[in-house]
Amino acid sequence: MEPLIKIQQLSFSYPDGKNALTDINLSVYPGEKIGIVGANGAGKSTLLMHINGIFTGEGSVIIDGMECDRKHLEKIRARVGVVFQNPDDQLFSITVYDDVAYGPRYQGLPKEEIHSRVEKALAAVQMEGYADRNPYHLSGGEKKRIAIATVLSMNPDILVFDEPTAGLDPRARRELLELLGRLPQTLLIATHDLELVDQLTTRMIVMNAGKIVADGPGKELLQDQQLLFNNGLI
Amino acid sequence: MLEQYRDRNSLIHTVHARVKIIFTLVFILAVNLTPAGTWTGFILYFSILISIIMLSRLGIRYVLKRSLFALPFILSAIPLIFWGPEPVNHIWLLNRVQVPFSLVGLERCISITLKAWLSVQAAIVLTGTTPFSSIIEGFRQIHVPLILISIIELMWRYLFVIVDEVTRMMRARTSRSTQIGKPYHSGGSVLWRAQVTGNMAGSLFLRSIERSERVYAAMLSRGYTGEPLSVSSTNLSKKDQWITVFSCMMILAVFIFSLFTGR
Repeated sequence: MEPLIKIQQLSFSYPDGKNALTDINLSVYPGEKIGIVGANGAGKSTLLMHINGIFTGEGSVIIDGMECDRKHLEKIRARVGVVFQNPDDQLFSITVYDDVAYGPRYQGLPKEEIHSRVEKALAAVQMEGYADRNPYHLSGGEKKRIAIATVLSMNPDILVFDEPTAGLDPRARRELLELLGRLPQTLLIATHDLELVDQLTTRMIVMNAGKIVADGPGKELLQDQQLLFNNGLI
Repeated sequence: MLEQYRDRNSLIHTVHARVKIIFTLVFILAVNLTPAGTWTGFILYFSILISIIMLSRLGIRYVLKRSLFALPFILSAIPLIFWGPEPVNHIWLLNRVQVPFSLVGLERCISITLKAWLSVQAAIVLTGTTPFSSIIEGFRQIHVPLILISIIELMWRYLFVIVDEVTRMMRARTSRSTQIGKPYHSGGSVLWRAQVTGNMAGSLFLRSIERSERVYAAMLSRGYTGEPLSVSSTNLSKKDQWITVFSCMMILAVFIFSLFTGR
């Protein structure tokens, strides 16, 4: 089977010269649920930003057979939905409806299709009654769900989450985990939440200082206390 | 990117910040009070400025590129050409449209352009040769009201935070600005995109206000009383005093010369 995401020898430095990723190799197959863990500054978010070409480093990133270059960028972004850590960065419209409709509208879909996409996306995150609300006034957990709906409406194959449970209260976190568990897409979740990794993912990637230091089933890696300690996870 | 200071080893860099601030203010004041159409005066101001830029080793290209900031001021002066003071001539375009044209207005427009451009360049030399903290220090020493200084300091500090916020918002939008190929034409209408951008600006504004409230609460809880701290000022060295007097006299000389030659 062909991998859905194929990253080979990817390295990236920020414009200020700080080295963020070094020689990353990673293949992700359809339907995989992957947790990416590592201390702050380990390179998790930077790696995620490469999957939809927000950053481009040296090496190759191939999404479903498409090289992540200028020519394919917008098509790749339609396949990869990124949910950013802070929903306020993602929600910029006056109503929830407009925000969820942004992706399909940009794609130029017909009105009825946009409407049905929005309804489906809101239903998937169980926020049906919120279409006319102003996203700014929602709670943290609600904003997070809407942020997820805004990418679901593009019908992506891959969903990428950056610290999805950060800053949520216990109930919002539990509900979010349930929601993530129901999503059929290929998932990549960067997180500090080892419980989430244990519950939701089948594969765990440990990053440290811009490198992948471990890659394997979460059930096994989570038992390795030394590994977790060395990489600042406990 | 926003940081304008360029670390160079030059005479201008070693001059005390206070001297440079005073000189810049005197220069901007003199240039802007110079009557319109005093071309010799403007050339003299420009040559003084160019000499300083050369001395500062900032690079003429660096300064000229940044001086494009003056452009908006120029735009506001353009109407003077058409609706300037009498005598207004009328020019026929294509034998149909009559366009008013004032020669005095044109002269003023060019003068305003030059003034804005020279002033911006002077400010660029100041910020390019003086680290931000020294400028603030200099403001304190020449007794700029402390509240103004704290406003400038806070603005500078949080400008970067807000720029980061904008970057993240743009990234999130870019991630959702996608294409699915034929037959759908991606991008949406210009009007819709303008609306989205407007919403983003509004949302940024709201978030900035909320942040300012949080920052203020944090300042209060650390004992801020609304009264900024004052600092003692040091005396200028002989060399710095001499430079201040000499440079300001030079500007004054050009200014007086312009008053006599201009209208």
